Order: sequence, then C-alpha cells, then structure tokens
Amino acid sequence: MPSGNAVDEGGRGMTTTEEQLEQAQQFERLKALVDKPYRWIDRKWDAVFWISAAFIVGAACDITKLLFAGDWDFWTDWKDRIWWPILTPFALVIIGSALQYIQWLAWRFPTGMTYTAICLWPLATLGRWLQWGNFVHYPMNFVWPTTMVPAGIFADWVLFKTKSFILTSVIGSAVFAFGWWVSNYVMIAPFLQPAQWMDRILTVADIQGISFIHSQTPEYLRIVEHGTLRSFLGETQYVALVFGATVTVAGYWIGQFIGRMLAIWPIGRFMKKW
Amino acid sequence: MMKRLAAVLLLGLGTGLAFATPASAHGEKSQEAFLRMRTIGWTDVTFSGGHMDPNGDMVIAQGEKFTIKGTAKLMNTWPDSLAKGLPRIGYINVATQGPCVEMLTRTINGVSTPSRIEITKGHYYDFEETLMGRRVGRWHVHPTFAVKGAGTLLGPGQWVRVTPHAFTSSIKLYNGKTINLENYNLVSVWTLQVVGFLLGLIWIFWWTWWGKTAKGNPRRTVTNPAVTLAIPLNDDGVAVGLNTKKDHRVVNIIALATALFLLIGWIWQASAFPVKIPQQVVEYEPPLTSQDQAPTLAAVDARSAKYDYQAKVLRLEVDTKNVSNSPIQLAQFVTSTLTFVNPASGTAPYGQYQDALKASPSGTIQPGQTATLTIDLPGSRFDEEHLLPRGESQLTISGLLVFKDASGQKDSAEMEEPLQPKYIS
Amino acid sequence: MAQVATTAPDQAVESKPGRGPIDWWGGHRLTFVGPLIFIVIAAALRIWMQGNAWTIGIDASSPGFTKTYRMLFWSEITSSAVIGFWWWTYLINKGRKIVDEEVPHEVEVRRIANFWGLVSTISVELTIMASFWPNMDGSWHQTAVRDTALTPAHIPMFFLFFPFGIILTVGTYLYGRYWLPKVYGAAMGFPWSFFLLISASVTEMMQVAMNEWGHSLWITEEIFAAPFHWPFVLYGWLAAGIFALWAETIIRLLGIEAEIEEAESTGGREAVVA
Repeated sequence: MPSGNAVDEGGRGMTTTEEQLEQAQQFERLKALVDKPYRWIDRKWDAVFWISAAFIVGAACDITKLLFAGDWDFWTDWKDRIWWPILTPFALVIIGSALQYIQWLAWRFPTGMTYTAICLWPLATLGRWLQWGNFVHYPMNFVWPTTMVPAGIFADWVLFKTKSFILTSVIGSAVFAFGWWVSNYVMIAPFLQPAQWMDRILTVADIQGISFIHSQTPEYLRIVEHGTLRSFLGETQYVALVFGATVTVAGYWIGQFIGRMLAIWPIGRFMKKW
Repeated sequence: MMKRLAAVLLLGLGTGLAFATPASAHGEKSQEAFLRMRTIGWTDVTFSGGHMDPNGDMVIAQGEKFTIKGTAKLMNTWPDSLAKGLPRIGYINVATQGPCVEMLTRTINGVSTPSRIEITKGHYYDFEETLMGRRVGRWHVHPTFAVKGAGTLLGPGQWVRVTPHAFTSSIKLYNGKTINLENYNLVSVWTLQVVGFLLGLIWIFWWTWWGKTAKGNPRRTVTNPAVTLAIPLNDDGVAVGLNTKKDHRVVNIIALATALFLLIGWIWQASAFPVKIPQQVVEYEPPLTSQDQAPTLAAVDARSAKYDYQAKVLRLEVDTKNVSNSPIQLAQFVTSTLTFVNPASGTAPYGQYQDALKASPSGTIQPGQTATLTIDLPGSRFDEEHLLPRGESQLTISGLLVFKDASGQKDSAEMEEPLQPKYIS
Repeated sequence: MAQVATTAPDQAVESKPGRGPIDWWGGHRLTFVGPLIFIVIAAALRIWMQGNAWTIGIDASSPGFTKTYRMLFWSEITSSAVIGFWWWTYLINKGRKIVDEEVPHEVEVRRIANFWGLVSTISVELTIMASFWPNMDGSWHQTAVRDTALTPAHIPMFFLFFPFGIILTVGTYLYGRYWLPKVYGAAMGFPWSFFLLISASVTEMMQVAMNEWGHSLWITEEIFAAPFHWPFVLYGWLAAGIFALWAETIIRLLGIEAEIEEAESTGGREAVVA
C-alpha cells in the first residue's frame, strides 16, 4: 500500500484519489500481464523448465537426505523411534524449503515442497530398486525409502494459506515433520512386530537387518534408540517427534538460505574482480 | 579424430573385458598386512554342508543350509592405532557379495548371538554360524570379526555356489503367524508409496496444467515474474488474477484427501498390527571358552622373522619353552587368513587357505624343555594374500603358534617379530 | 564492436518446418539429446557392471580387475580430459569469432533454447552424479568390505561423471559468454550464477580426495551420514545457482519481447548503427 506521501513522476505529492487511480492502473497492467501473449515465449519453456529442474531438484534432495540421514532411510532396522524422526525430516525439508521460496517468489505457486517430493520419489525409488534391489539383491521390503510427498503437500498448503515464510517455517515445518512421520510410520509398523529369533525377542526389522548380510555395516554401527529416554514413561516417540519438528524448523531456514542466497541473489549479479 | 579416439578406447575396453578372469578374494587384501596379522587369529575354521565339487566349491541350493565354524582369538598384539588400542565391541558376521547367503543362527561361545558382543583382548570366541543359500551364483564367503572403531577383519573364505531352488525366509511372529521375510508387506509398502506419490502429482498437475488463471487461460510459469515481482511477497496473487479462489478450494480438497489417506493408513496399521516394539539392541559379553581357561602349554619368545625374496621363504626363529606337564608339538602357525599346518603333527593342509610349514626340530618338546624352533613358511602364500608388509609403516610378522599336547589339548601362543626382509642378495 | 541503437529487427530467418527456434526438434532439441547421451552412458555402464561387479569388481588386486575396471578408470580420465579440452577450446575459438556479430531475435532465441538444453544436460548429469551413482555407492560400500578407492561404484561416479560436471558447467559458461553476450558478455564481469554452479562441480571433485582419505584413515566402515561426507552436500547446494541461469535467460527473453513490442510500436525496423 503506498504511503500518504506518494509522489508522481513530476515530483509532486499525490492525493489519495490519485494514489488509488495509480494503483488501479498498476493493477490493470499486472492483470493484463498475467495472460499476455508473447512472440517467442510459449508454454514449451515452462515444460522444459519443470522437467529439467525436476532432475536436479530431486538429486539435490536425494543427496542431502542420503548424506545427512541416509542410513536411517536405507534399512528398516534403522527406522527407530528417536533418530529417524529427528534427522530425516530435517534432511528432507531443506531443498523443499528452497524450492518453496523460489516458486512462490517467481510464480506465486505453493508447490516447492510437493515438487521436491515428487522429484525425489522416482529417483529414490529407482535407486533402491535398481541398485539395492537389482544390483545387490536386498528385498525391497527391507530397503524401501521414506516418502515426503504427503508432508510436502501439507507444508505447501500452509504456505498458500499463510502467504508467509515465517509462519510456514514454524507451522509448516511442524506439519511437515508430523505428516512425514505418520506417512512413514504406517509403512514401518508391520516390521515392528515382535518375533522370537536366536533365543531373543526381536522385531521383524531387526531380523531383516541380521539375516540379510551387509558385511561392511556391522550391527554395532546402528544408531538407534538404546532406551536412554525411559524417563519419559514410554513417550520416547513423541518427545523425539516434537524435537524433530523443531530441528525441521532449522532445516527450513537452511533451505531458505539456499533459495534466497544461492538461487535468487546471484541473478543478474557479476563479479568484477576474481 | 574424436571418432578414432573413441574407437581406440572402446577397443581397449572390449579387449580387457574379453579376457577378464574372476577374482579369487576381495577387500581384505587391501588392508595393511601388519593390521591383519596382529588383530584376529583364526583357527579351525571349517565350512560344512552341501557338497564339494571338483573345483573345491561348496555347492548348496537356495534355501539349503550350511555352517561356518571356527575360533577367533582377539589377539593381545592388537595395535594401538585401531580402536585406540582397546577393542570393546565386536560383531561376528560373514563377508559376502551382498545378501547372497542369509544368516539363520549364530552362537558365540555356545550362546545364541543375534548382534553385537562385548569383547576383551586375549580372549577366544568360538563361533558357529548357520546360513542358507539365497542368491544364485558363485560367491566367496568369509567369516568376519568386526571391531568398533577399527573395521572388519576377514577370516579364511570358501567359494560357495548357490543353485536355483524354491525357498522362503520364514519367520514366526509373536502371534504364531509365519511370514516370509523376502516379501512381507511389500505390497502395502508400495501401495502407500504410490498413492502418496499420486496425490503429490495431482497437486503439481493442478498448478502447472489443469488449473487456470482468473481469465480461464492455462497457468504459465516462466512469464509470471513480470507480475510476481511487482506484488508483495506475502500476496497470493488472487487479486491480480494469477491465482483464484478455486485454487484455494482445490488445495483444501487435496490436503484433506491427503490427511484422510494418512488417517486411514493409521487406523489400518493400528488394527492390523496391534503389538509393536521398538528395534532391539542386544549386547552382551560372551562367557569364557574352555580355551580361555585351558592351561598354557608353551611360552614363546620370537627371535627373528626373515624373508628371503629369492627363495621365497619366510623363516621364523622362536624360542619355545614347554610350561606344561605333557610333551607338546607345534601343530600350526596361523596368521590372518592363512593357516600353516605342521605335517609332522599328523594333520595335512586342506582348502585354499592352508599350506604346510616345515618346523625343525620337528618332534615334540618335553616338559620344562626349551627348543629354538625354526619354522619355514612358503613365502608365495604371503605374496598372494598381500600379507608381507613391504612398503608399510610397520614391518612386523605376527601370528598364533598353536601347540598341542599328548592328549590333543590345544593352546595358542602369540608371536610378534620385526620382519627382516633380504632386499638384495 | 558494432553498436546497436535499439533492437535488432526480426529478420526473416528461414527455418525448416518444425525446426524453428522454439520448436521441440528445433531450438529445444539439445534438451533431449544432451541428457540422453549421459543417460545412455550411465545405463550402459550400469548394465555392464551387473554382470561382473560382484565377481571381478570385488577385488582390486586381481588381474581381471586390472584388465577391466582399472582400464575403465584410465579410459574415463583420458576421455574426460580430451573431450573437455577439445570442447572448451572449440567454444573459445568459435566464440571469439561470433561474439561481436549482431544477430536477429530469432537467432538469439534459438541460442537461449540451446543454452537451456545445456542447462538441462547439466541438470541430468548432476542427477546421475548426485543420486544415481551414490545409491549404487551406498549399496556397494555398505555390503562389501572396502577395497581401494577404485571400486565399481566409484569408477563411473567419481572419475567420469564428476569430471563431466566440471566440463559441462564450464562449457556452458563459455557458450553463454560468447553466444549470449547480452546476458553473459565478458564486459559485465563473471556471473555469480555460474560461479556458484561451477564451484559446486569443482568442490565436489575436490571432496572426493577428502572422502577417500577419510575412509582410509578414520573409518573403513560405511555409515552414509558420517560427518566427513557432509561437504558433498554443502558443495552440492552451490548448484542452486542453476536457477539463476534460467532466470537470467528468461529476463533476456522478456527483454527481447519488449524490444519487439517497441519496434512494432515505432512502426518498423531500425538500422543497426555501426
């Protein structure tokens, strides 16, 4: 909204009526621009952008997830109550947040998180099926990747409704972390059933981890809950979830840094000395 | 020029591919020799099950069981550079090329051991692992001893050829239901993944394809900055016609559908799998073995370890004192994956990782007596296994000297001696 | 250098039907061809490895490995160096000849479409580098006892696709500098967008050395989330500069559209002022 001291091009102060007229004209100019036809810019450019960017967006999210939380993502016996819900949403939200900024700023599309999620999914699934499944022969019910699609939808919804990155960073991240956990807990649940094996009670996931040999990751490398949060009366899971949500907020702002400073800031900027 | 270069490169590659021969081992040879010799002493490692073919491969079918047994000693010569000199947590496993065989049971010192153990230097670990064939092919399988902070040490391996056969990986759940680990709940995992993905696809297609601007035109992307950069960041573009109230309704519907999907999923898992426990961490200290408590048979003091490159012989000189009440004889020298058997003690070498040593004097050592044993070991075996520490930062030969007494009782004594290679004649 | 008073006119530059500047098989052809080349190379290597990685590739000390994987390694290093050097010198030599030529809008639009084709190729190539091979790398290193730095997963990843990340990003800059002087001409300085993107590929290559050193020295076991893997992620985030490339060329496209409008509103062509 222009201030009461708006000036026109001649430097004269403008009255409120003139401001409103100027604003209305600007409004009409923008409306016309939305659907303006161009000589050389058609929707093929849109298609090239969306499809080309899908690769690098998915890859950026995949490598961030793999190297920040990969082990928890690779194996069912790592998908525990504590580290999995803290580290994985943090790792996943980063690139989605960057894309939220870019796509909202440039197009007012609340799609960044979901776009990242659907770009990640085929890459992650292909990687698991082709490399972990087909190449090494792990059963896919042992090495399935987590999904961030439902979580991404919720976070994008929050952005569209709040129109604010600050609010999305808090509400959206919380919703993202919780939505991520629910959508993936549903998948891990069957593998948390107990079974008697080697004279012990173990989960199906533990048995998968021991039966399907991975020679270079001895079992002691597994970073899962050891039971040190028993003081929370068995509410370990929920404490971890809430903490995971706060860590996801931090991840969201890391993503905002990437979007704002590494993707948008360089536009049209040049180094003179290098 | 480029085409010629490409042709040369491809031809070279093709030639190489045509004449490639399979590997005989993997991984362990790249570890430094002095590390492999000073860490785990593997004795009496045997593979049993299936049948042996003329090439020395153990042939088993998918689903057919076989057993690996042996004793691993966590040697006192364990180097300071690994796990800060204090190995505490270990995991006895197998090294294979992926899950081509499947672990079924494992006992360490007679106790069922699914996962990690607490370990102490100088102790023995009798292991017995039962596995089954899983992936068709020819695989090299080793028992392994992994130590936290150090890595995985490999014992002697065996080629295992797995032949096709129908099989399952059956596990009985707490409620008596039997499941197949190979594909349990695979369909539900994929279904949940795919439905979730489709919901996301619908969201994106709405914004990029199906949705329309206020004027009813397909929504564009690359030309929007002309508008979006002129309105505030916290403006959703509805007022200028970029987005519409319909968009708000559609995203509500999709978000609600997603929430419902998750709710249904949650109710399903809660009712289908009512009993769930967290992943278990099993860790304990195995009991001592009889060998830990057996009387010492010999006290050894290595005097030299010389390697003659031309004769390809590694010669050890070891002062050996019989500290038991019975005559003793050198039965084996064990280092890393290799076992050198003393034929004079009545056993012959077998398998790919055993060979014969020549000990002199070859007979027994009487109680209380000290003899200087000269032990000649075939250097070519060390070469093949990359166990001669040439070019490494510690030129040491280490290993276990296994003695046995008249009753057949065995005891191993560790030796460690700087290597004196003869570089020039 | 020729000065242009306003805009170069839309000369009637003849294109074959369907081969126009913004036709799929015209200006946008490289968007398909470039990525396809790298997909085919990756697929071919992957298919070849299916048959021998677990037999020959497992032992770096064997003669079979020397004849296959080690030779592949040397071929990759050599071909990357040769192709990179050849392409860059071609771009520089040809570019210097054409940079000062004034071109009509149609030609410039085609060049931008070409540029987008190069960017699409970078996107796909970086995906193969940051998602496709790392999944194989994880599946290999978490199952097989670590051998040397030359493992079947490392050889195509670190020694072919990582170098080609550098070759493509630098080559694309050279194309932009000479073929799109109004966007990336040398007089403007060195674009920050390219600086970040090229830095991503260069620092990733450097990180390979740290990775192998760390694995040899500290931990031979493969936890993917190990801290000394994290620079791979941080350097990868620099590739967000790729979005600025799309944005900068879109800005130029909109600039071309504005020039066309201005020319049409002044009633026709204006001469190029020498």
